[in-house]
This record gives sequence, structure tokens and C-alpha cells, in this order.
Amino acid sequence: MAGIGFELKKLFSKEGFFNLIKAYLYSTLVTVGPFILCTSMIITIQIILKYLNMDFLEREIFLATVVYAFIFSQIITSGFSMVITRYVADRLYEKEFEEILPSLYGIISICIAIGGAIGIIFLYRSSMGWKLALASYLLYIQLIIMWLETVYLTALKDYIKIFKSYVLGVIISIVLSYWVLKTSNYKSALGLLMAMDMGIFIIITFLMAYIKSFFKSTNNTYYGFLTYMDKYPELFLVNFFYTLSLYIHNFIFWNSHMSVTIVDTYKYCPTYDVPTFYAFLSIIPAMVIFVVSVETSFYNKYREYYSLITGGGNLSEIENAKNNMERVLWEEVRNLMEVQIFFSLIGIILGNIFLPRLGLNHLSIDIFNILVLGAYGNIIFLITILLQLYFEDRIGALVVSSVFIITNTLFTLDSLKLGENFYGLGFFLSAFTSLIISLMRLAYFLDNINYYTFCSQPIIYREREGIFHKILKFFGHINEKEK
Amino acid sequence: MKICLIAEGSYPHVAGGVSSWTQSLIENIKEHEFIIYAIGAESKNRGVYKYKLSSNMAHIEEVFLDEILDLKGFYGKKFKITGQVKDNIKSLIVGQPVDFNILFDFFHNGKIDNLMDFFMSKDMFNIIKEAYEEEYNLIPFNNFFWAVRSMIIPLFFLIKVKVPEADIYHSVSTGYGGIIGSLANYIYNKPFILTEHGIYTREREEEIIKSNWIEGYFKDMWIKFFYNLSNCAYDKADKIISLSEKNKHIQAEIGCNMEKIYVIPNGIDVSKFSHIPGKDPKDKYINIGAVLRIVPIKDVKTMIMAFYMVKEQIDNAKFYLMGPTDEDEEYYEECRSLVENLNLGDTIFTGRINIKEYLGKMDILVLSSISESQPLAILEGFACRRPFVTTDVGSCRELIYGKDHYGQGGFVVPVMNYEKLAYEIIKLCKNKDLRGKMGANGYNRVLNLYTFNKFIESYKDIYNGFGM
Repeated sequence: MAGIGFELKKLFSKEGFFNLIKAYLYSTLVTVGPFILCTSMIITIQIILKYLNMDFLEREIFLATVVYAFIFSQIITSGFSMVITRYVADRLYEKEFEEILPSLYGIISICIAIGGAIGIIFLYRSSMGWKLALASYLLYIQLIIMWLETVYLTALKDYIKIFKSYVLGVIISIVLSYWVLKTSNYKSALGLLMAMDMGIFIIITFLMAYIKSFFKSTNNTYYGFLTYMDKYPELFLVNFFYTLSLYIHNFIFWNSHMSVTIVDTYKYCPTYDVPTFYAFLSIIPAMVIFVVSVETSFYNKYREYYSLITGGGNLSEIENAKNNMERVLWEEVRNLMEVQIFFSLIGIILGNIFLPRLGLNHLSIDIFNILVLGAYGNIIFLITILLQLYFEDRIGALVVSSVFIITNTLFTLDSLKLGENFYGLGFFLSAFTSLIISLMRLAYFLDNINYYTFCSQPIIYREREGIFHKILKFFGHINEKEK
Repeated sequence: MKICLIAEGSYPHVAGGVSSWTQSLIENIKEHEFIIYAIGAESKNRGVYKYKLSSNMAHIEEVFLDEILDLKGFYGKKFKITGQVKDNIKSLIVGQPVDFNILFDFFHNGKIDNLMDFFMSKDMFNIIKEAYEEEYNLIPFNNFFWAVRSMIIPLFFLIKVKVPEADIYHSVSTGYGGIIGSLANYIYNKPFILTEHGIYTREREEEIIKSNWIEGYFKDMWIKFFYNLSNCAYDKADKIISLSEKNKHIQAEIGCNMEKIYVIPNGIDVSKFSHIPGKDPKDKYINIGAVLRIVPIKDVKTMIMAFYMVKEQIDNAKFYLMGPTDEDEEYYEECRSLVENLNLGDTIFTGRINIKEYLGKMDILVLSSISESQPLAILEGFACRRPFVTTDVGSCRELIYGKDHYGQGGFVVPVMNYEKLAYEIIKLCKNKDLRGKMGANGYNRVLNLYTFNKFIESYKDIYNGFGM
């Protein structure tokens, strides 16, 4: 069929659609989700440590190492994971299964090369013992592998398996940590890190085994996915900017006068970091609602619209479907915003009741309050980015994620200069600025969606025998004819 | 003077009637310099010429439609586009009359630096949308959108290309070639001559109707589009040259101003055929020949069926099909098996041969094409004093019956009617005197009206008429 082309047909076909959408959704959830799952693990271990009266410094070293490994492994893999998501979804759709496994090896090698180099430089400067450094480094590299494997399994829509592997790994880590502390002579950060390494190792082994069991056939195109870096550089940048921006306000505080340094290696800023963590817990409801609402009412309208385009609808039918889709989308977004604001306010109330008991000081509570609102803006913003990607508005998504990283950096720096009363306001303002711009862009894009749907694709597909090739043949045929 | 010849899908990349015609025109008008503006389909043919370039060829400008595939654009750009331009593009889509000067100006005044940007712009989208709403609002929009795009891209692409400068522009067809001529005429304000060998629009129309890749409801759109292109050339050309009276009338019917049309038929050098070997006196056969490429448009099967009927009555008839068999292998095989199935003896496919060695051996010549413009084969046959039986296509009727006093050079029968074809061949087989008489009539006609010199002189006059 000539016309709208491969992308939309793929979107419309259930197989491709679910792969792509779920993949986008979950790969992004994976960028936020692990933050929650893994911090729960750290908290659990911390509680055990407290209960077993472990040395405070050792506890701090352990915590800082784990947090650093988590954050930086995520930032390193973020951009790649979005591109690889797209690549794997396409390969699945094209039934080119043998390309998938080699691309995993390829992407792991690239991320380890980049991330590994950065990690070595970072640890080389540190005055930790080599054992500790090695254990930290292992953790960080393993996490890089783990995030990438997770992307592959999300593309396979096998969330249950991911969840099980994670839970298993987390439980093993916790149990091992407990065991290390109770029975061994390694009552130190090193012992805990080794236990963690073991747990994560179990996770990545399991995930790899799952992936391998899916793709029996394989070839040697390890770096075939790199063509997608050319094809969709925006995807890489969108997720990289977004993920970096999630943490950049913390990084800025790590370099402020309030920062604490552990074993001359890890800087952090408990006054700011701890409230950040709790504030972000408040947005879990929005993620759940988003998944649910997208799976139901909006998806139907979305599908209707594109199926009319590819399935021979006339323009008034298409316009009609477009209006329906728009209406439902805004209803869902509004609905989600209303529900989430309720949860965020609840979060603030609960935070103000319980956080002081956990030892947070007055300044941290203030920061928490503003960051809950910031996180609110941020999650709605993330959802609009996802919607932009649904509609293949990659350029729009890139623009708004760039706005997010730039404003977040600038505003956070300003808030530091302005003093205590402004801490957290930088992130808050940045999240809302980005949100407003992304909503405006989405609204504009939706108004013109017919135009974008038809005109955002290349005029001629080189890969396929489209109408254009027929036309060329037609003229070729004229040429062969004697007049 | 510098003369820019505009060829579409023919010279110098593709061998054939129009191309040979172009080559001999250039070779025989040495006092002028020629530039070729060649529109081809595939860029792999760039620099691959089927003809030896004449010494007075200054330059060949080659444009290939598949270069469109390499164009890159970006959506979302905005263009300041006047209502006039909008209406004209819309008219182009829905097949209303178009003022091409508006479009020429729009693409050449520098506002459009990247064609694809414009093509992917919202302005263009809205034009397509409005055209749809006016004329096509019940058909699938997606199909319409892509059909329109593919239809007008090659045109806009060609309009964007810079035309080389010359003193006279001479297009050897309407269609895209005619558009380039009109464009040059608009930009440089130089005379534009149009020679039409066949009737371009009619040929396209037939192809479109037969084509299986254009959906039914778009065929009309495409046909109107090509009519629009031709009308542009008819409108802008200073002189229009037709090969025959018949074509002249068809052009006028399509919308060309009769006053501008001149008839200059093709010509051949009769002396080249004066010393060719004749028929062997011992040859007891009546030789019936056809000079042709074995391709469907020549309708070889009808000819074979006619031969079969001739053979039933004329036992000593022998059939020669003279010409290349490799252009459409499949069709050639079909013809071969038809001969076999009919048990038709004395039928020879000669393959590629030198015509001059064979023509003299023939008694009767046949042409059964479905479509022709002005077949050189008839002129050559007449030059050898051989009678012709042809189908009623192109200017065959004019050549055989003439609008002059030279008399009949053979017979004309309806297309695809092998019974009538056989009937006339048999009539000639049975009557040697009639063969001689008709052959002589044809010879006199060619000698007086269709000589090569006459053809060349006519063109020289036209060129010089526009001179200083």
C-alpha cells in the first residue's frame, strides 16, 4: 500500500503498537521505577544495619557507593536504552529475531566501554582501598548491564519476569547482607557491597538467561543498532537529557557548601538528597493511572484515528476521529492531574507528620514540600513527553527535554545563590516551565496532527517499493517504447 | 545560434524513433550549435549515450527523475504563498486550467530554496486538503494524498532545475519536455518551438487507463494532469510542428491553436535505397515482409494470424519478420509458439539485420501496429517501390492514400483486424501489376514530399526565421 507508510502501519498493528508503546512507557518507567525499587532495598539494608549496630561510617560508605552506582549507571544507559527500545521493537515487528541478541551484546559493550572509562577515572582519584574500589566498580558495571537487559525484557513485554528477577535479586542481596553481617568477619561496607554484587549478579544472570531463551537464533551484527542512532538521535537525547535532569539538581547541591564527602570520594548532600527521595515517592499514583488510562480509553481513540488513516477513511471521518482522540486525551490528562495533585497534597501532609520523626531537620522539610510539587510537575511533564513520542513528535520531545535540563541547571544554581528559602524552588520552577511548554507543544501538535501525520515522514521510502518506484517504472517504461 | 533541444525519455539515452530523428536533425544542421536538455528516468544512465555525439553539440544537460529520491526536506517550514499560487497548484491537482507562469515565477523567484521543504510544508498540505475537499472528498484521504504527491513532485522538481541558456528552445514532445520549454520561454523570453511526434497526452492516457498501479478514481486525475502539461506547451510555444495532418487536427482538438501548427513530416534519403539487391529471379515465393521490433505495440500476433489466412490461399507465400527479437523476450516466445501452434510454415524471424539487404527481396510489406506516429518503415518501403498494407494508426493513412495526386501506395485496414489485413495482402499477392503500380505511387510520394532534404530545410527555415 502506498502512503502513510511503514511506521504507522506498525503502530496500528497490535503487535507493533504494543511493543512500541509499552516499550516507551516501560523503558521510561524503568528510569524512574528502579529508583524506587532499589532505594527500598537500600532502606531495608539500612534498617538492618541500624538494628545490628553497624559502624556509622561504614554505613555511610555503603550507602554512598550504592547511590552513586545506581544514579550513574542509569544516566550512562538512559539514552541508549530509548534507542535500543525502538530498535528491538522494530526487529520484533519485522520478525528479525536473530538481530536481537547480538545487539544486546553490542550495546552492553558500548555502555561498559563508556561507563567503565568514566568509573575508572572516578575511582582512580579516590583514596579508598582497592578492594572497596573494585567492589564498587563491579556493582556499577553490573547495574549498567542490568538496566540494558531490562530494556530488552520490557520490549518482550515480559514485566512479570523482570519483576520476579528483581525481587529475587533484591531478596538475595538482603539475605546475603544479613548473613555477611551476622556470621562473617566482614562487618564492613566491603562485605555488604560484596553481598550486593552477588545479588545483582544473580539478577543479571537470570535476565540474560531469559533473554537467551527467547532468542535461540542469532547472528553477528553486534552493532546493527547503531543505524538507529542515526535514525533516531532525538530518542537518545530525549531520555539522556531527561534522566540527567532528574539528578542534576542533586549534583549541584553536592557541590554546594552543604555537601558532605565520604572517604574523599563520594560527595552528597543529605539535607537535599533525602527530601528528594521522599518527594519522588509521592508520584507513584500518577504512573499507575497513566498506564491504566492509556491502556483503555485513550488507546482506543488513538487506534481509531490511525486505522482510519491507513484504512482508507475520508477526511471528515479522520477529522472526527482526531477530535475524539484529542478530547479523550485532554480528559485523561486533566483527570490524572487532578488525582495526582490530591496524592501530592496527601504526600506533603504525611511528610510533615512523619519525616521529622525520621530525623529530617526543618530545612529539609521545607525542601521536601517544594520538591513534592516539583515532582508533580515533573511526572506530568514526563507523561506529555511520552504522549509526544506516541505521536512520533520526537522533535517536540527533544525540545522540551532540552528545556528541562537547561532550566533545571540554571534555576537550581540560582536557588543556591539566593539562599535557604529558595532551596528546591529551582527544580520546582524548571519542572513547571518544562511542563507548560510541553503541554503547549502537545496541544499545538495535536491541532495539526493531520499535517504532521502526513508530512513528517520522508516523501519517498527508499526501503520499500512504494508508489514512487512504480512511477519511476512508469516513466522508465515510456522510455523503452519506440515512438 | 544556440538551440536547446529538450528531450524527454528519449535522446540520447534511449534508442528509438524520436532519438534517431533528433540525432539526424543535429547532424544535418551544422551551422547551429545544439544543447541537449535530456529528461531521463534513471540516473544510472547519466553519460551513457546510445548515439555518437555530433561535433556541433555544445553540451548535454541531464536531469533524472530518480534524483528526486535523494532530495531531503524537513517538515514544519512556513512559506509565504499567495492566493494565486495556491489556486494554481490546486487547479493542477484537480485538473482545472492552470496559469503556469504563476508557478514558474513561484519556484524561480528564490522563495523556495528547498523543494522538499515546500513539499512537506503545511501550506502544501492545506492545498492538497482543499483540492480533496473540492473534488474527491469521499475517497480515502491517505490514498489521495500520496497519489497527488507522486503526481506533482516530478513536475515541481523539473521546474526547479535551472535551464541552460540558449537562443531557441525546441522541445520534441509536450509533457515534461513541453513544460521545460515553456519555462525557458518564460525565464529567458526566448522563442520556443514544439515538435510533437505522436500525441503525448493520448499515449499517456492509454497507458494510464491500462495501468494497474493507478487506482480507478485517480486515473482521471492523472489524465487531466497530463492534458494540463500539454496545454501549457501548446499555449506557450511560438510554433508547433506536427508530423502529419492527422496529428495537427488532434492537437487542435485537444486545445492547440490551429494557426500555430505547421506540418513537417519525416523524410528519408531515397538515393540510399536505389542500389539495393533485388529479388532472386529463381525465387518462386511471394515474400511478405515486416520491418519491426518484436514487441506488443507492433501487434505481431495479428500479423501472424493474417499470415495464416494468407498461407491458406497463397501456397507460395513466405513471411519475413525483420528486426530485433530481444526487446521483449516473453512476447517473442509467445509469437514463436503461435507460429508453431498454427503449423505456419515459411515464417522467418530474421533477428537484427541490415534492412537494405532484405527490402529489395520483398514483394509486399506489412505493418500492423496498434500505435505509431509516422513510421519510417513505410517511407523506406516506398523508397524501394514496395506496396504496403498497414493498420490505420498515426499517419499511415496519409502516407498510403495521400492528400495528393500520387495515388494509392497500398491498403489501410482497421487495427487488430487480421481478416481484413489478410484480405488486402491476398489481393496484392494475386495481382503483380497492382503491386508494381502501388509501389511506384508510394515511391513518387516519398520522392516528392518526404525527402530528408525537405525535412532538414524546413527546420533550418524555422530556426533561421527566429534568428537575429
